[in-house]
Amino acid sequence: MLTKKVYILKRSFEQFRIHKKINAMLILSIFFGMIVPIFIIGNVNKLKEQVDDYFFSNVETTQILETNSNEVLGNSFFSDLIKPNFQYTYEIINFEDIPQIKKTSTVKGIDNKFKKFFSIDTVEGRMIDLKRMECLVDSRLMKEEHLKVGDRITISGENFSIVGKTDSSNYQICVPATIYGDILKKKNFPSQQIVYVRCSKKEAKIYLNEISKKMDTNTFFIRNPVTIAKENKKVLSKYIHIEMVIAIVTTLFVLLNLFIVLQEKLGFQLQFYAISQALGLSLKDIALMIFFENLLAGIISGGLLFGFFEMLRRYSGIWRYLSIKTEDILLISFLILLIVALSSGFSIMQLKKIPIATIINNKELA
Amino acid sequence: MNNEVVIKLDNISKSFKNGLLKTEVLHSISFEVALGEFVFIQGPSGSGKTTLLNILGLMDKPTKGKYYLENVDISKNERDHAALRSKYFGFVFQHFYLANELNVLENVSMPMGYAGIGLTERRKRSKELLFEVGLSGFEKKYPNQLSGGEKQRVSIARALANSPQVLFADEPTGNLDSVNSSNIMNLFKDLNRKGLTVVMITHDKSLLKYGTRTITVTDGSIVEDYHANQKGLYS
Repeated sequence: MLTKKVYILKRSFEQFRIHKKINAMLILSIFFGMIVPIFIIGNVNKLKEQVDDYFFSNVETTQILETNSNEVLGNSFFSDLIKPNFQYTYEIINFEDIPQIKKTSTVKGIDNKFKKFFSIDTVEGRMIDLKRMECLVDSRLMKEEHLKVGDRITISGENFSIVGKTDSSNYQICVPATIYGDILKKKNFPSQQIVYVRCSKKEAKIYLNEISKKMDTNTFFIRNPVTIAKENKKVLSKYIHIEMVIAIVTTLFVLLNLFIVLQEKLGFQLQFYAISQALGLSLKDIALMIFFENLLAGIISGGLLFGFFEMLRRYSGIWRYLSIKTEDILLISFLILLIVALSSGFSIMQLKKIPIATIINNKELA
Repeated sequence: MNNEVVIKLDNISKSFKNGLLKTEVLHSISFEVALGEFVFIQGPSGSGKTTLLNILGLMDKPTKGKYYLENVDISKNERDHAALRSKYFGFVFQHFYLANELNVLENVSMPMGYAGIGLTERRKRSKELLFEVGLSGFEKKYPNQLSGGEKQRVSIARALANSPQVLFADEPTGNLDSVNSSNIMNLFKDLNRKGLTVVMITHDKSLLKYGTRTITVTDGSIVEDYHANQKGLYS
């Protein structure tokens, strides 16, 4: 039985080689056809991330106090005021002068409560010690800048050790919030501080009122994450839907094209399959033969797609506008492979309709 | 000649549909093929002889009637037909249908590969078969390097690969010159003498002398069934 399967496999490879032109057409039509939907899916993921970023736990009661002042961290009045409801604060600045990093990246000061809001997990190394000059760098930045855990980078003229690699891919560096705040303050670097306070809107207004007595309130804003998320979603949903429709239509077009090419391919191989049946192969064996052949086409097209997007991920700036993990590309490639392989059933259905004798006796095919 | 019946057709009819039009090409055909016979099926073009051969070789299914193989009705077990074809029958076609990308040895061993026979055995048997058809030394050649007669010999060797009981041939000399035709027919005759049952379609009356029986089909019916050794006419 195994000998038979091996022989059928061998014949499938031969058929694949003989009909290389039509197989190349099949592979390329899948490859080029699927590039567009994958791009769109990547972009939709990116858009979704922008929407989802604003959804935190207990969003209804969490207000954001956002300030452009770098006087907030370490200010005892402010700290004391918001202490009962304080959740988390971070400080962001876009840096372009980290000597070891060419890409525009975001430095984020984090404290020990960040986990309540963001799922930053290390895929290599460990979490930072919030009292030491340590940092986490995201995996994409690490790869593109050829950095590794244990390297040192200079932020605002201060050296930080990379102790861990995070699984995010936002070109983001995380440093301890308090240390980072001190550095920024000392060097008068402009930054944006965002403070999360878990309270009602009414309480937030009271805070603002209290702040106005001691600090410049012009630099403070109260924001509700739900409102922001809704606004974002309203704008982005339209684009997400349009892109999804385009992705579906393109995929359907690819599938249609796939079946047309398969039909054409079957026409070329009809005689071979009929003779093979006359020589003792059952329709089931023929199905296996077509399956092997299509599987090979699927593996090549899936591999090409995977290779193409991996190259893009590694070497192209366009990846910034996409959000697809290697596993996702592998999954899409595998699904394509599966569709191509399962389309063998379509060829068999076509083959079943015509008796072997009719094909063999067709003088035009002889 | 052995009188054991290998194939029996009982009231076989075959019709084709072309849109709303239904054409019956075979009308209630019944006859038996005994082991060791050399049967010719002859008739004018469009008489239904190729359809009959296809039904005999399990390459087409009848619309009506029963097909007995070694006294077992296999008409309804369509799924087993591939295995039965492989076990009982060999086919020789007018257009040879050799795989051009494979050499002679690989072409001959193809049905054995499909039957699950191992590589060593396949090669050994293929060489023996090529010797039998007079093509020793042609193993590494490719079909496009062969003459028509040689191609047909390869095709015969391929048909014999799984030691069939019945060899079906659809105008095997149709594409050959007279010398090659004669050589090929002698080869069929030799195989028949060794016990192989041969069922062949031809429109060339000069070939009928090689057979032991001639069935004449006209307009989808058997009009004559002539057993040469009995010197008589049967229907």
